[in-house]
Amino acid sequence: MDFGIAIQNNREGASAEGMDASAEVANRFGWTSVWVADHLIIGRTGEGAGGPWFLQHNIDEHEWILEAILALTYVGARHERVRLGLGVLVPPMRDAPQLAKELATLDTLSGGRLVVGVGVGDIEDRSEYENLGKGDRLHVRGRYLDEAIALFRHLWSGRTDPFVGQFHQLRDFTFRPLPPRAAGIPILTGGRSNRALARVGVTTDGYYGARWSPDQFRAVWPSIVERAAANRRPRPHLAMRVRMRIEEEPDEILSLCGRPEAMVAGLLEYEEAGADEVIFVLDPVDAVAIATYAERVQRDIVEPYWEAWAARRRDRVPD
Amino acid sequence: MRFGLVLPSKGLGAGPDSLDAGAEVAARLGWSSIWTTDHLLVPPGDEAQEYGWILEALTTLAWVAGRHPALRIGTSVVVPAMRDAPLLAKELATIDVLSGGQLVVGVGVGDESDAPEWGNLGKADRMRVRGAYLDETIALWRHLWSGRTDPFEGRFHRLEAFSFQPLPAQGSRLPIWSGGRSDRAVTRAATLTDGYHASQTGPDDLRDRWPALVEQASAAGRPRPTLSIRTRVKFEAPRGRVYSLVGSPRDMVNELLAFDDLGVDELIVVLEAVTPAEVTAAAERFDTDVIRPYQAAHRERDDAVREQYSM
Repeated sequence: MDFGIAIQNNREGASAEGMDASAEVANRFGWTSVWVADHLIIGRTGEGAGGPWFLQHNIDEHEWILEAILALTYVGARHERVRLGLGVLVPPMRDAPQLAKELATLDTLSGGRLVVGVGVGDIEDRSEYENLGKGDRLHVRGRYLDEAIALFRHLWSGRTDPFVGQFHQLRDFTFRPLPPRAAGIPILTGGRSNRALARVGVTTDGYYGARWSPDQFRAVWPSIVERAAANRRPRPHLAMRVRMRIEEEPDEILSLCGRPEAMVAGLLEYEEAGADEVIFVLDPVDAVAIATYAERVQRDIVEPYWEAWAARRRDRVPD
Repeated sequence: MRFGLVLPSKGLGAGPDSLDAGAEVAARLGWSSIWTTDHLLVPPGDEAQEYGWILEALTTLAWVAGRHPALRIGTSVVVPAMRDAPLLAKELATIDVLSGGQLVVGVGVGDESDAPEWGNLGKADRMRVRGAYLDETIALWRHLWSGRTDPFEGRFHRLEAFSFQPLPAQGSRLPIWSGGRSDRAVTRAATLTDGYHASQTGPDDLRDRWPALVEQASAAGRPRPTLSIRTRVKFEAPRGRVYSLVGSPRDMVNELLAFDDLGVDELIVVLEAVTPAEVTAAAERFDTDVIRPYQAAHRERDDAVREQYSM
């Protein structure tokens, strides 16, 4: 299983220096990917469907945020090896044709390192959609996302025939340079609805999960893998975003927490549930604190995880 | 007069190596700034010769900001009505934060011939109202960049109960330059933005336009805008329909002195070069054959003036 890190493009104090520090530890520890979050101009009001704590959580996490694609581009320009992930981008809050161009540009500049997680947000994001002038999109956001994925692949593949969708019609266009992998830029779907899960392995290449326990996920993943096989598509990739809180008490945000041994066991459970990579979300925002905390995660969790992983493998291989 | 380079983010083969070459040579020669151009999905044909192969303007700026932090960076120009003003506010603020306050935002309205591109972007309806949209964009950006949290009410956008952080490193003083040759564009530069960024404009065109612009700014109680020119450089080429720096190096030096006399603060050049080697060679040639002689002539003239006054 690979590891990645959610670099802090969000939360109060998020800065170029903090993102640099996150990418630097990823390089140092062989964590293979860095990920950014996407919000733009969140509202300070909500409908409370996710509970009042969730509204406050969204404000704490996203009222201060650097724009996702540009933040990822900046980090990609300075760190030449890590894969660059969007976890997750919300196309219906933006415009798909422009996004196709921005994403192709980032993939071209970075030499084919981009991974595009996409989602639609939820009803709590109504005021953000409205602030962005996209209020009308909220109720068609799922359909818009499906069309955006089709449009991305159409343009990235180098096709020049017209694209005719419900939301966008393109004809007589040029779209160069094509990204290094053309339409093969991996697209992962986020979200928890049945519709979101139904895209995985059918129209997208994998799943970007957040706030799932291993048990919850084990219940849904095998059928998704089977469906992809039935559709003759490659086994979908599974990236799982996990907040790491060493020696802390559990709270509403599902995280791995408590004793390091329990957290190591948790990582092994995610792996058994099908995860190809776990993306660490760490609480610190300041550059020095990020590096210090990441070192602790590497020493107390990741290294013991590899030991446990190797031991299990030995146990399973008959001599 | 300062110098800037429009990056080779466009033209067949343009990629990360061309950008590095452009930024590297600009920094090494002591030029002040590097710039990107905004087109996204132009139709095949003449337009595509120039802009069919192009890297997206803002992504490109974030990339070069990460690799060449000493240079000022800017858009020449971004077209807000072809995009969305709130998203742009966030994107530009992000670039200003990432670059430590090095950003200048050149804005424009595009023209009628861009209609197919606007259609492809889902913005066909904006074409008719692009001037009004740009004016509102400038007001919205300043509102958000200043840290104000009261609602913004415009014709095209309405924002309330919003969060907009971090603010740009330069706050609401993040410079906005506008271009255009119409009366409306001149009035916009004089009364709404911080600079006039003219393309397809030679010293003769400026001789009429610039004093009127300064006068309007002054009448509005605003400081004199920064004056910048974006021009193509074509060594040994004849004069064409559209203004470019053409002819011999000596002709070009004379043009630079004329721009300088008119008060141009920054001259931003488009070189006809895409590959890294071409870009480096073209910038070095312009620097050696035109900028250095211009600077020498400028110094001589200053010395002559000083001598005259000291007598």
